Amino acid sequence: MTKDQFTLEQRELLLQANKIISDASINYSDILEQHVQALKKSLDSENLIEAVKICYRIQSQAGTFGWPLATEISGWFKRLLMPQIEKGVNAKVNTLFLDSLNIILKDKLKSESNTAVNLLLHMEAELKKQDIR
Amino acid sequence: MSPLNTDFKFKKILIVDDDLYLAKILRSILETFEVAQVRMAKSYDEAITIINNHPFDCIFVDNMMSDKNGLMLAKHIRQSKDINLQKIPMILCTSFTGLQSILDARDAGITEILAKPISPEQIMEKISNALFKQRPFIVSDSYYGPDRRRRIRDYDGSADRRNNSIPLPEKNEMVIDDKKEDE
Repeated sequence: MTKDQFTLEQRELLLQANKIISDASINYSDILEQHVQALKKSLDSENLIEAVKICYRIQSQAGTFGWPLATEISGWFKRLLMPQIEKGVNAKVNTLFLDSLNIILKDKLKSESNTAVNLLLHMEAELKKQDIR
Repeated sequence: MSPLNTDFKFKKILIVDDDLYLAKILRSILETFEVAQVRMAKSYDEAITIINNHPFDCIFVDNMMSDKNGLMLAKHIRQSKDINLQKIPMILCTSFTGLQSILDARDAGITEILAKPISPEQIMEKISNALFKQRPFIVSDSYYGPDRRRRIRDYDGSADRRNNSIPLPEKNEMVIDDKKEDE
């Protein structure tokens, strides 16, 4: 559905609703940081179910509040974590993703940029070394 | 395309999600859309208690909660003996948007799927569809829920269509909104 298909009154409501999201986005980096810290804690204790849940939460939230790269990487991480529940922990993969999320936070990598592309290329290359896609 | 019906002034909506941060944002958005009443439940069990005591027009449920998932709640509601509860429109909020997840949601009796990350435009469209463009409710031995077919297509084969092979729809005919890749 495109914006043109909403009535003027609906567009006014949508403007107000989008303001709620943009207001919440201002301090979202603090919440994202808390999630990444909790993710580290769950990985350190090898609580993979909790780690999957935190990834799901980051994936669900971050894109809404202006961090689509964090959504993309946490969704990717979630997919790689789920089989680990059965097959066991892959510490190299987990460190790679945790480090990447920390870089996203530190460098405020919200969407496409040269740094973001380089990060994704680096992650792909590291996963390829381990024959993981 | 006709404009959406967004007259939510008399509608009561329940949000079931243990992600309170996102649930509160969703509640604020629904209030902005002038929904009459929005309640929140942070678990499957709390949701069951609330829906057994209060009527709602629509339920938003997250797919991944700590205790039980949203599809379990959908199945519970669809098998309810309370006809009004059984037919309540349900919107699944999920980051799992791969084809199999969509099919699982459809088979659990989910009315609409709201893919996360969310946007107000998407929320308005899904809630309007769920409330005002309801599909016939199907009760069969193996399925309770809104008609899983979203499009009625002409059929010009013989009367015994189950014995005929039916071509699968072309990819661009798929009704599922699968813009977001997952799984």
